[in-house]
This record gives sequence, C-alpha cells and structure tokens, in this order.
Amino acid sequence: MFKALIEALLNLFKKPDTLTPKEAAARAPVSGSRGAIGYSEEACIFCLKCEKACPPAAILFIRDAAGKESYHHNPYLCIYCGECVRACPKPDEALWQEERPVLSSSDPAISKRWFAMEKEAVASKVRYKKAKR
Amino acid sequence: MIKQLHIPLGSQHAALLEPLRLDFSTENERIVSVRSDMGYVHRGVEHACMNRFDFKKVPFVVARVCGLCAITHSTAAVLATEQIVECMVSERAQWLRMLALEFDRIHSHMLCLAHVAESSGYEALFMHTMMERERVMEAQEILSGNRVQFDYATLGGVTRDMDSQCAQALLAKVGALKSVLSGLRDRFEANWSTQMRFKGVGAITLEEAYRLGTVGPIARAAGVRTDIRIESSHLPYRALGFEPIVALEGDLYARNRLRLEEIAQSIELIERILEGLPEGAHLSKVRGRPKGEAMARIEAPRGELFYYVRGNGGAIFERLRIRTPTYANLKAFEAIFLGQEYSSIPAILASLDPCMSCTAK
Repeated sequence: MFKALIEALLNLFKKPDTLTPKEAAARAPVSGSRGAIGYSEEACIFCLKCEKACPPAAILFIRDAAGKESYHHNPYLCIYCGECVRACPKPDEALWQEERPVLSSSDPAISKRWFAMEKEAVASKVRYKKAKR
Repeated sequence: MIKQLHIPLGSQHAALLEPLRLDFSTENERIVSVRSDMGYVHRGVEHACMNRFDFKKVPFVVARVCGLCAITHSTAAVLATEQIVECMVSERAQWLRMLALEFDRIHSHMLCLAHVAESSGYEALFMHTMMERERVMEAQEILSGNRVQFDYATLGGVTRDMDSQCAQALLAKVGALKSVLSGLRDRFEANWSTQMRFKGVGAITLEEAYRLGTVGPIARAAGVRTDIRIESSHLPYRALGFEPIVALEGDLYARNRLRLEEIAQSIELIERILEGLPEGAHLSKVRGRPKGEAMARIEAPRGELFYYVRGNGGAIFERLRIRTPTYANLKAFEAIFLGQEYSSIPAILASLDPCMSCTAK
C-alpha cells in the first residue's frame, strides 16, 4: 500500500510514455522499416518478375497498342512484404523499398479502378501476343 | 431460493477481444452449463490457399490468419512446404526463425497478461503491461521491418539477414524488458488484491487437461508436460538447451505465473540465439513444385499449431489444413467455466487467451 502510494506520487512527475500525434509524425522511421515501394521506369527491364511474385497482386503491367508496358502499383492493396524487390533482377535501381510510410500521398481512386485494371492487364497481354503472331 | 438465469456473452461484448458466443445457464451466480459458438470471423483462408495463391505466396497469406501469431503461421506453413520441395535451409535461417518466434511469444503472452489484468478490474496494470509490451513491438520492427506483420519466414530461409548493429539493438530492447519483468511479476504474483481474484479461480485438473486434449500454457499450467519446441525437431530448440516450464495448480494464478516465466525464458533463449547465431546464408533458392504430403507442428504462443499440406506437382496446393491451438482447447474452456462465479468469467476467458480469428480462419 505504502509502496504503491510512493509510486503513484512519483508517476505524477514522470514524462508520459506515449507520444502526441505531432511528436509521432516528427519521429524518424526505424532503420530498415518496410515502407513505400519505389519504381524507376528508366531502369526497369520489364521482366514482370515482380508482378508474378507479388502475393496480393498489387503490381500490374498493362501493354498499350504499341506494345509498351506501363507499371501500376496499388498502395492500398500492397502488404509491403518486399517480395517484389527480392524478385527484381535490378533491386535498388528499378524497384526498391523505402523506410517512409506511404498512404497519405497516394490517390484513393486507384482502388476503385483496380478490378478493371486487373482484367485489362490480362487482356492487353493476350492482345499483344495475338498481334505479334 | 435458486434463481435460474440464461446469460448470453457475445458475439460482441466489452470483455471479449474477438467474436465468440458463449451461452451460460446459471443458478444464481454459479454457472451450471455453457455452450460455445465460434465462426464469426470465417474468411476462407484455407480455400483461398488451395485455389488462388501459388505455394510461394501461401506463407504471406496464412500470416494474415491472425495478427498476434502471424509469424508462427507463416513459419509452420514454410516448414511443411519445405519438406516437399527441393531446398536447403541454412542453420542460420532456422535460428533466425526461432528468434522471431520467441519475440512473438513474448508479445502475445504480455497481451494476454494485460487483458487478464483489465478483465479482473486492474486497469493500471493493463496499461503498465501494454507499455512494456511496446519494447517488444519495437524490437520486432528492428528485426523484420514491421511491428505486427513480420513477413519474415519465407521458403528457403528468412526474408532479411541480421547484422551486428541490429543484434545490439535487439539485445538492448530485451535487456530493458528484463529489468522491468520483476516489477511485473511482483504485481501479478505478490499483490494482495490480484491474488484474491486469481487464486483458485478457473482451475482445471491434470486429469481433465489430459482427457480434453488441452495444449499450450493452459495444459502446462495444469501440470501436463507438453511443448512442441522439444517434441518436434523442425527447429533446433534442443541446441539451445530448452526445457519446458510446468506449473501444477491449473488455475488463473498458475497460468499468469507460467506466462511470466515463459517470457523470462524466451528472453533467455533470445540472448542465447543472438550469442550463438551460426554463419551462413539467410536465404536459399527453392526449386521444383510441391509434390507429396507433409505436416509441421510448431509451438505457437497459445499451444500446438498444426499444418498439413499436399501438393500434386502443380503450383497450387491440393490441400492445406490448419489446426489451431484455440480449436484444441475449446472443449477445455467449457469444462473450466462450469461451477465458476459469473463475475469471474471475463478474467478466466482472458487467461485462456482465445484466438477466434485463428480458430475460424
């Protein structure tokens, strides 16, 4: 009882263990934390290994009529496991994982379009194969 | 005068962490019969793994079965799959897997202890335990890059290697936890008012624990010497000199004490792993597709987790079966509740540490 009373009084003068939202935002991410997936089109060789490796299928490549591939990433579907970066033959150049968190800067409309984009990604590859023949 | 009452608890209730329905019949305050109902969080994970995802993605899918023991699910899936594909896993990768499992055990046990404190009306101890648990969550982020979803165990090894800087940071976190553990023990074991709530409450006898096939801390607290860490040879726990801890009383107090002792033991194991970590590659290539059947058993924080996989040479498993520890313990839950006061139910339920998202998957 006496011990608890002393502890309770001491706790009044202790700094809280929690952070305010402002402090939390200003805190640097932990080294090696798994955050945003970065992509560079110049370095990419379009091997599509990341598209195949991604567990939730959050990476899509869509071919246009000229046969050019374009990269699409859904940050809301992504689980940030880093499988794509491990599958990439040019990690750190074409595809990399950053330490900063991502969601605040991305476009929420992509989730609405995603089902249509998944179908388009499959259809565009079939179309391209047919045209090549 | 005896008054008969029918009291439903759940599927949504302030004392429940996860959706589970328990129908109690009581005579005055004493429970005379109970019926449990689960399955409110069924998501068809097994079906998805057998139809949609190829075998390399399955460890990431099953990690989403449960937030608390994500790493145990993915490690069990990986250990089962590795038996039916061509791959050589290095000793270092196995040790790193054990490291992640022990961190997982510490934070799961601390969450359980915190909820026992909260459910028995000791809110300050709940907050205190959760505050200390935060050190483990930070350690997990240093180890794997994420606080909750490790995504650490993968086919052929683990997803990232550990350098000396990371090992030092982990040792510092574990050391900080070690120094506060005696204070936590004091509050759970020596506090006069908590002992009134814990001692002799929610007890299960050794015979009953055997008969009902109880696993994990509930069985060990009742005196059953069962721990998959020494019973199976999937992971080299014997090299660490691991011995299971057993208590005898089988009540709420014994379960708390057992969990606190297991936390101390896990800290010791982590220190031994970090000291004696063998050299080698952390990840090796996986060749071929799963053909044949295999199973893996692993000690999750709540008890034995069992995985069965069957492949027919294709990219997708023909069958994947998950048997979770809470499923094995459900019958014992009902036996424990009989004869108890209704007011103790939230604390007993928290101490049984049910994981419904694992069970219903």
